[in-house]
Amino acid sequence: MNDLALAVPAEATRHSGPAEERRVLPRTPDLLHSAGFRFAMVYAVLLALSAAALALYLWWATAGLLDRQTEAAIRADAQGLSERWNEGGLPALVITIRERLEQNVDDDAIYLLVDPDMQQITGNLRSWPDPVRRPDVLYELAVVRAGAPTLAQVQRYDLPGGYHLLIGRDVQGRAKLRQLLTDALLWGLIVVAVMALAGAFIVRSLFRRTLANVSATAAAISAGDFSRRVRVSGRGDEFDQLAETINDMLDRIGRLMEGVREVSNAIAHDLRTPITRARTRLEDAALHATTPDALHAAIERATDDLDGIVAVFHALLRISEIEAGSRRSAFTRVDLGAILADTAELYEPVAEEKGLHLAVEVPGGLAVTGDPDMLRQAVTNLTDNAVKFSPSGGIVRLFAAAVPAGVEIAVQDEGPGIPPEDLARATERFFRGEAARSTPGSGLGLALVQAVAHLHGGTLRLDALDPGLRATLCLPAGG
Amino acid sequence: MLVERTLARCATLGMLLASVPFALSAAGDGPPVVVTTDTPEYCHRLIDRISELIESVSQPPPVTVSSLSSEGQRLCDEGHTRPGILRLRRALMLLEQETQSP
Amino acid sequence: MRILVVEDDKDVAGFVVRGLKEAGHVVEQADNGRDGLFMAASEAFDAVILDRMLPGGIDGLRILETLRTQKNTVPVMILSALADVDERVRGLKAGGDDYLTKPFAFAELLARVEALARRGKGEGPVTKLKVEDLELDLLSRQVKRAGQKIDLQPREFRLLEYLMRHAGQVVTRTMLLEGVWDYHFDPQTNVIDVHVSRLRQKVDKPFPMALIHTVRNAGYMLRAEDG
Repeated sequence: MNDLALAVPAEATRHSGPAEERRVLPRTPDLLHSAGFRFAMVYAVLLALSAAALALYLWWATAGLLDRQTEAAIRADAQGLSERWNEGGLPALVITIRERLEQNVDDDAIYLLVDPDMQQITGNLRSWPDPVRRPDVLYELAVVRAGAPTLAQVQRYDLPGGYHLLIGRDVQGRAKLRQLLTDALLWGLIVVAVMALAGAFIVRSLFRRTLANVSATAAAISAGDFSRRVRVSGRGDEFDQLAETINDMLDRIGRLMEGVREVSNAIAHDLRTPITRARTRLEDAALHATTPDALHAAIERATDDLDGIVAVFHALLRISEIEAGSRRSAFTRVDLGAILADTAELYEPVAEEKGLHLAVEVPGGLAVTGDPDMLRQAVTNLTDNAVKFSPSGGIVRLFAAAVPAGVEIAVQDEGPGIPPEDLARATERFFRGEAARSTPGSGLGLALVQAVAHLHGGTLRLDALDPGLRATLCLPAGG
Repeated sequence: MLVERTLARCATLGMLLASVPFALSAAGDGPPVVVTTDTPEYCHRLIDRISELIESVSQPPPVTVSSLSSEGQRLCDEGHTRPGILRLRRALMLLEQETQSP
Repeated sequence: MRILVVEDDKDVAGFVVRGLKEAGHVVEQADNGRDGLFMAASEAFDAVILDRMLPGGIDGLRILETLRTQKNTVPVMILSALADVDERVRGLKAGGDDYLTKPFAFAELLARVEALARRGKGEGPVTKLKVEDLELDLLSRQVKRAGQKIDLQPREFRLLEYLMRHAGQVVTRTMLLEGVWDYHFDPQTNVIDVHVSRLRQKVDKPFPMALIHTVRNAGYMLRAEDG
């Protein structure tokens, strides 16, 4: 009594742990850890990067082009002037420069020709601009035109004889255009950033909404409401596939839980009997046995009872093992002819004793993908039943055939069969029909066969014949 | 989150600025460089040149040339030097073309 | 035979050791993994009975793997409460020679351990088996007793072969199912008994001396009758 009282508080503290955890889990993770946020950020960054790349390209194609054009113009100019120099020396160059200035309808040319002392010979600049020192480098120069400051790009050329030539272009217009473009693109990028942010929020909420249903359903299920299922939108997209898979899984879990409940009930009910019997025998012997031999006998009978119970447990465990489906990895190509022949051969002496004839009909080369041990056990169970329940002088047929859906393996007898009202329940664990109550057996044989059938993706079909029973294992060929 | 976005924006701006041609060296210091072909003096130079060319040719100048040169002269006198020089240059170019083609 | 029992459950250990001693074997025992490994590695045994769940940090399978890595080929029978097929496979893969689940009948344990030890002695490939006047020729698939030819069907031949290879030892029904039919489950009916009885009709009945005996609560044994 005292032990019980002590035990309870310990249990209570142990259980508060998991309950605590369960309360914390469903809370939505904070922003930084949200997967929806991460997806949204990926979207936003991708959008921003694409926009930036586009803007960069546009800028290079337009403003960049303008700059390159200026450079090209200056170079072309220099080319022409150097030809003139080669043709006619200094005088020709001077005349050319004057002419070009006079005909500069674009109003953007800048020339300056100076002598070795940097004194102006001709051109539209008064003196050599100080900063322009190195030749073949494009300089940006602030110039004044009609009192207003503008921008020019100039380049220095050194001529033989110590003369220096400055060629340039007024780029104020282009500079303005470039500034305009840069501003527009930067503003555009800001707009894109804002849109990216908005889009990110939308993506995140879409994400959350789709997952919300799944998490809400899962939460309800862990709280105990097993009838809930994830909503399927009907669009057939990946989320629907996920929902359907989860629902299938939940269905299966439901079935397994049902099975466990069934089995617990059946075990509690059906094992009580032999356990009670063994206990009674032992107690009876302890109280009433007078001789050592009587005691011995009682103990041996009790041992037999216990062995029977152990066998039942083994069979139950085997069925559970098969139902849990963990052995599919051991599947291999199984020759059905060999299995049927072996089983028939095993039962042949027993059949002969009972005056039964065993007939085996299997087309050669018929095979399935499956677990050879389990299939053998299933066929053995069916044959065992058939032989056990057949009246003397009858025939038990084992046959297999290929059908469109796969393969059928059947064992047929001419015994009393199973009454129609019991047919549906015959594969339940521990079920024994009225007619079978007197024969030895635990009522697990057909349950095991059905479990094997399900593991292989097939079914067990029981057909009442008149007279007799045909048990058919229908298996898909590929397994 | 804020840090990430600011970083992204700076990166973008940096990329844009970085693509400005490196060849350009800024030259902002020194005395202001004055372009001498934006002055009334240059205007008169051009007018003289036009007259020279007209006199060297036997035919009378085309209408466009006359209108351009008178307009240019007027603009120069009114103080709009650059537009005026522009028209005078155009007139000069047309004249040059005239004198070169037979 | 010298047998080592490594089992931590006092009741089971006591039961097994007593039974083995009564059967005439020399038995050593250990009740934890460390001692068990030490004894198995340092002394020569004809067979080792090894429980899987052991205290002391080293479990049965680890002991087995260590022994095999040390090239110790002593026959090992694994005892375990874990009955599912995957665990059997694990045990046999780790180097075990046989696997018996708890609870077990002592007769089964004894029969299998003796068979293991006999197998471990490594008789080379034989072509003929002979017990008293019964001869079995493995090459020609012929059986003769007292010079007379006996007609056996293939499965009956294999059944007799198994009994003869384990002559003088107890052979349980489970062993026969595994060894002759390759069935790893118990059909719960007396199929084996009927097969043996048919074999007896052909091999024993026509002759004065019975060779195939029934061992109560255990199985069968093939040997010459004493006296």
